[in-house]
Amino acid sequence: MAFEDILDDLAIRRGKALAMGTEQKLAQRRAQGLLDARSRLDYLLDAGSFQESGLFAASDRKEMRDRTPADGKIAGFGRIDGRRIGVVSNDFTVMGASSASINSKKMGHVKAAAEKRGFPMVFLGESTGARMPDVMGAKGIGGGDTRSRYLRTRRAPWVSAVLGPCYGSSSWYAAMSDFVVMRKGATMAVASPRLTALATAEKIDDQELGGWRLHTQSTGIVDLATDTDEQALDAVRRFLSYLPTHADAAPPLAAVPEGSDDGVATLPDIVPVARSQVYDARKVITAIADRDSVFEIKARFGRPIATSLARVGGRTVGFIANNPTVKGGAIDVDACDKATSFLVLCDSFNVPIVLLVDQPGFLVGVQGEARKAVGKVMNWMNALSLVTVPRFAIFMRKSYGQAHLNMGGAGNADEVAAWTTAEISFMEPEFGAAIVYGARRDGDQDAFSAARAEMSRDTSAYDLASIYAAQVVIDPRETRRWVIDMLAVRESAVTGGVGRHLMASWPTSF
Amino acid sequence: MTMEELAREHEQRRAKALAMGGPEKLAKRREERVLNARERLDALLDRDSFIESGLFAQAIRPEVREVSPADGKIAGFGRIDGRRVAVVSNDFTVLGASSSAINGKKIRHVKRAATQGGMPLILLGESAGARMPDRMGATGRAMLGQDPEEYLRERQTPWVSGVLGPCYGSSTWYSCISDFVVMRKGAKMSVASSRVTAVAIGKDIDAEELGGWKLHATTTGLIDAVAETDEEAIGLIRRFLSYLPSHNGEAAPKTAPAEPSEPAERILDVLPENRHKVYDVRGIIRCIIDADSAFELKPRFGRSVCTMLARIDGQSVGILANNPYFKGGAIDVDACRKAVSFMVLCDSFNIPLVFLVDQPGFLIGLEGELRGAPGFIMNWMNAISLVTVPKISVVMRKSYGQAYLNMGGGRNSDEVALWPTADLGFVDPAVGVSILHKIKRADDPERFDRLAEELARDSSAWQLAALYEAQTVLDPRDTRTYLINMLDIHRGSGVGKHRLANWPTSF
Repeated sequence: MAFEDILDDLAIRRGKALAMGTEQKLAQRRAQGLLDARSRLDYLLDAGSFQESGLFAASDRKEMRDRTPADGKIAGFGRIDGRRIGVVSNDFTVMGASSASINSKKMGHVKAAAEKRGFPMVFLGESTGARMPDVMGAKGIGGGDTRSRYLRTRRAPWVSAVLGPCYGSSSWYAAMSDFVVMRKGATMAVASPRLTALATAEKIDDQELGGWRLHTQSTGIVDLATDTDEQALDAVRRFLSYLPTHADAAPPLAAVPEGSDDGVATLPDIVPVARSQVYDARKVITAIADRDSVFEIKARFGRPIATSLARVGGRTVGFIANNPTVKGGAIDVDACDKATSFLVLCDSFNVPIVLLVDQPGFLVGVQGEARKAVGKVMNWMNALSLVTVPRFAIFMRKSYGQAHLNMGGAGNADEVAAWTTAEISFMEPEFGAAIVYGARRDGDQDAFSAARAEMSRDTSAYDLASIYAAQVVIDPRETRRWVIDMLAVRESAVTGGVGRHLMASWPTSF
Repeated sequence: MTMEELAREHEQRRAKALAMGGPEKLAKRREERVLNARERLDALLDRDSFIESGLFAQAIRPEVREVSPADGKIAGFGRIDGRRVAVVSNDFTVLGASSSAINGKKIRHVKRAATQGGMPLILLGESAGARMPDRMGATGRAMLGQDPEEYLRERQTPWVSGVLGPCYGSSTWYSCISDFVVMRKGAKMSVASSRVTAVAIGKDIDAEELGGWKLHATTTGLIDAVAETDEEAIGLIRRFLSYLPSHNGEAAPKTAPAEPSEPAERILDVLPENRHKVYDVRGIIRCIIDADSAFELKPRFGRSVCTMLARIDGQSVGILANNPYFKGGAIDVDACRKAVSFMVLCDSFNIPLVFLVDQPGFLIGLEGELRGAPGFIMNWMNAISLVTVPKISVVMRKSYGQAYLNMGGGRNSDEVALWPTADLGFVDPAVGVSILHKIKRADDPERFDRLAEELARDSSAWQLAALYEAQTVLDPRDTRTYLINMLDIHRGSGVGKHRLANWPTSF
């Protein structure tokens, strides 16, 4: 063949591979307002930065070879904000982006490079699951070396976007990722509704089986739900902006936006002095953090606790705040799981932790006990004990019982500040009056008042500071300054802000 | 004072401390047939092996000093089967064995000694929780915080808990972070007592419902075994420890080998020829392991997976078996959690894992998805990828789908053996035909059956062995001999790397 013909052939082959599935399928997606797999990459990555790996890969089944451009999973490398990432974008128009032996090799290749060279992996999920009949039979199931396919060691961040039906490996990777965003309308489950219906002989609605409401509210596997593909991809970029590209680097520093110091002045208006009055703790985070820097994780799950990535003085921090607007801030089982998973995230990627404390204890009762509340309380304590990034606790108002330890009290934080409004005790004074003294509000008023007063004694911020269980008592308006100062004091000069990551191989769901 | 007088005082003080909370309370316990804290130690430890630490410790508050012998938690060291252990026995007759500053120091002391000296820690729990008013106010907080690693679990040595009465506060926390928890029926374990809970939520609550044995054995899975009496519970603690090394730096102890209680031929009677018929996998295990060596963990929880400590040729093994007897062996979320916690246990204490496989896949459907099934399936994969003790997988019948990997397929174990009855495919052949050819059996039974048979042929043991995805195809009756050989080949130093040692304690 003449060179010209050879190059023509290359161009034709390239054009064919880049064309993805049929024009009809692509048009259908456009009509639905969905991006196709390559448009998603264009949107996600810095312009012109995509280096494809495996454009000419195709199914290893001869009869399918011409119908499987890139074998349905587009893989490669690119940049986000100038930083290197590895990426796999599932092309649903090619065999439903089903997993098969060749595209699994592609995923394995990019993943291994990301792990070895220290950059994040982004999985854009949309897949019907394992390809049939490829995976059927002994040959299908026994194909390839899969020993560490599902091992997560958190050497570098993993992010998943669930952008369509996700069954099989797309859901596994989502479950193992540090951040999962889901477009509303997408689904994620062990098996598709069709397979589930075949196996269980019940008709099943795909949204009920694995829609965004289920995963943002009930399972907590998804961190954020968006309306469009574009919003989901924006969230992927934004999430990564808070983190280092690998575990052995400190998070990137950002410029501090103008006006970032103004918010703290509003804290006295946000947090009522009377501890029976509630407020939204997320407003406190916003007031302390750099302007527009707050990125909430799992906003719809375990809501008595709010977890947000944010920046303070340009440095990434992770906020864990009790939120009195939900269940009065009483910490339920989901909130325990959420706190634990957030501690693992922050500690694995060198993000210092700020605990904002205002909690009446764990939510007690039969429902929580049946969901192993006690075990979840201990998972959290184990995690907090293993954290090696700086931990700062700020006691804003009340902090009672065992949960006081979980929120960084009693030696479980490196630095502790108490607001002037802080109140630290074993339990709500009124409950204490009933339990210790048998005095109830609806009983003898004098006895009740005396018992409650006794239970409230020795519980102030200054009492805490006098035994050096808090290093300082601050005006709420001094909070931002204190956090900035302590970040400087506690950042390890020895390691350059890199922790020891003792939970790097912890499980990915709690 | 003369030496004589000092000796007398010593004797008096010792007697007072040993008298615990007084004859009245002790008599009441005897009536209820509940052992007291010191009788429990007698039952637990080898005769005369107890060395007490802190007999003369008392409450820090002067007004209760004289009524707090040993400050309510009896601590020290002893031996079980000749091996050294550290122990804390809660004395409920002394201020409800509530946790306080001084008895917290005692727990810390023996805990540290156990970790440093490489011996198991046993906690006999029965406690009202934090002592009031000691823990109240900021000063109460100061009594805490003596040990920021109080609830850190690194699994250097085995920890065992007996839940032998009401357990709130630290007795509960220690149970959660133990490797084995046995609960006596009638005991309770929860975040807060039913009394505190009732005050907090403003309605009465049944203590059994809030934290009784049924809840924890069947629903939460936080306990591993249930006992009728204190004596039985304590017997189970001794038995559990017999399978484990004293610390993670040594191999599990070897005992005299014993032939199985059932002959190998029995396997062929237990395993039905018709692969749609179920059986109880424990019947097969009995034909493989040393007689009377079965010690099942969490038998009432996540039952489609059976987890059992046992011995083969005198060596401790952990058996993780699918049990078709429950839910046809389909693996549900609880079973996933149970499998993960068992792998963490075995890997942390150098106990090789044997997978006995016969499963149709994960139990799919709404209930599992609502509980986050994909996450727990991946936790299992993460765990099995991190295990460094020998993993031997024996596929008895079917092994389908992703769960094939979870049960040790696809290089997730060191050796794979297949019985000739093994069936390896992605889904059940009948489901496969429906998906692949989009027909139902009712449409054309003859064609459907032919297609299903084709699929089944392609997923036979011989196909997998030909690909060397399995190292051998075994006569089921040779399974014990095979395991003895493979466990020996893969034993190495008998000490693993314990990469799951700091994993969480509840899944």
